[in-house]
Order: sequence, then C-alpha cells, then structure tokens
Amino acid sequence: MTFLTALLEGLSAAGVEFVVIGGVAAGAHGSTRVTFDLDVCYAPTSENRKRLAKVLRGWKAYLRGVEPGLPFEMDERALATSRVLTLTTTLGDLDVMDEVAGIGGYEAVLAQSVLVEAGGTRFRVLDLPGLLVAKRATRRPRDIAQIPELEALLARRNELRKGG
Amino acid sequence: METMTLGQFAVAVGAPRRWVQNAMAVLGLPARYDAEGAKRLAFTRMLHQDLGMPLARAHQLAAPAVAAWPERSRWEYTSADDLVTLSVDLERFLSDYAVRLSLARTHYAEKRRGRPPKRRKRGVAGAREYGVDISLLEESLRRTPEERLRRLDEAAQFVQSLRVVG
Repeated sequence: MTFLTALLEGLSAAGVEFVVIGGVAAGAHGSTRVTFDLDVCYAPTSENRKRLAKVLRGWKAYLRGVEPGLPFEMDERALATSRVLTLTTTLGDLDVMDEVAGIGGYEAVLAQSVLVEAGGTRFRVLDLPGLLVAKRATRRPRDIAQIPELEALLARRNELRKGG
Repeated sequence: METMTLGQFAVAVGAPRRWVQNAMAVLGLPARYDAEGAKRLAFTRMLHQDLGMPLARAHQLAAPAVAAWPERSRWEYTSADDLVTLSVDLERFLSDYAVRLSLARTHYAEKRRGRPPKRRKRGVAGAREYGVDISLLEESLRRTPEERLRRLDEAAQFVQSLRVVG
C-alpha cells in the first residue's frame, strides 16, 4: 500500500469528514505533476476534529519543519486554534485545513467537490473549477505556475464532454 | 541558526509585518529574523497586546520566560509590590508558537504583488505557450480518476525512493 492510499483509507476508516484539495485533487483531474503530500480540508465540527486528531495521533503527527521536542499536542485544540496545520506522519506528509483560499469554509468546499474512488476507498475531491479558483486566490508563485495546466485540463475536458 | 524572511518571521511571531517592523525599531533590534527571535517577540507581543505591558518591559521579561521551558511548564511573574501575579502556560504558548513556525517554514510563500501579467492565450493554447506538454494531459484524461491517483501515488513513491549512488 502506498502513502496516499494509506492516508486516504485511514481518514475514511476513522470517519473523518474531509475533501481532498491541492496536488492530489489536481492529479485526480488529470494533472501530470507529482506531489509528495496530501492536502485536505476538513469539517470544523468538534466531533470531526476529535476524530481527525485521534487518527493523526495514531500516525504520530508532528509539525513539519519544526525541530523535535517542542511541546506540541495533536488534539482538538491544536486543530481549532490554527486554520492550517502542516504535518509529517509515519505514513507521509499531510496538510489539514478548515478553509480554502478563494472558496471558503468546509461547506463551500464540499459544495464544489466530486466523489472519487481509489483503492476501494471513496472520498471527495475539489472539482477542477474550484481548484483553479483556489490556485488563483493564493497568489503564491508555485500555485500560479500550475494554473496553465489546470486551465488546459478544464478546456480539454469540456471539449470531450461536448464530444469534441 | 537558520534565518527567515520578514514575512516568514511575522507568521512565526503571529503578527502583521508592520507590527514586527515597528516593534523591532522601537526595541532597537537589528533586522535579523530567526526562530529564537520570533519566539521571544511572540512572547513580548502576548504580554504587550494581551496584558498591556509596555513593549520594552515585555521584551525584557520575554527572554527568561521562554528560556524557563522545559524546566518549568509555567512562567510566573509577580510585581514589585506583590499586588499582581502573572502566570503563563509555557507549554501552550510554545505549542501555538511551534504551529506558526511550522507554517512559516513550510506553507508560507511571498505573494506576487500587483496585477498578474496578462497572458495572451488561455486554455490549451495558453498552456502550450507556457510549456505544458498537452500530450501528457491528454493521456492522463484517458484514464479514470482512480488510475490517475494510482499513478500519482506510484510516481511519488518512486521519486522518493531515488538515491544518488555515484
């Protein structure tokens, strides 16, 4: 089992409500870029935060880029006090957030998502127009660099749907 | 010690850039941005913003306070007349600081300022002009999302397994 499958299966099995965004969502829509982390937007309810924190603790999640040893507790409070956490886990790198730039909170992200199945696991991923909105909104160079490819995918996909 | 940009430093402090620049000017600090400085300035800001302590006094107290962990999990300060005692949960403070430091180092990127340059073409033509290999996209679109994700997963695993041996 590879790291993406393991992370997605683990989140789903734990009953976490989430939508896959970022590079993996782009990959699901046809992007040819390789990504080394999974980005998810999660429902910011108390119960969901508890479920997410529990599964992250099981994967020994710690803050990426921070020297080990600082007093970080992966719990509901850590999720509630930061909109984004960039984590490293025993399975792979994982970024969790409760909103997406340009789109909004979880409900708005969910409304712009599609259901995908991979490795026997079903989960939702942000749709292609949503990804484009998010990439444009961040205004970060690495996101802007991906816009032409996503625009081409959207154009080609629309042509294919029209039978072109 | 690894230095940061002003933007990263401000994220680690948990303050707007302008506040950081003003505070550093008032405190007479050199424009050197590292993790230890961010930790101390974050503590300074907490004492100054949340408790109304003068900036210079807050900065003076911040150094021994952040150095007290891990020997002590709380930092306490009592005023000279014994009327006021402050108690700060150092572990909680440091946990919040660590989250911001992680974001500063992994998530933060300078935003492109101003209006983005106008691209003459969009869609497939624009991507081709940008250098995107459209044939790869077309091949990818012929696959199901499940097949695409499996290939992405395998490619990421493969690249991560690469080691230079010569």
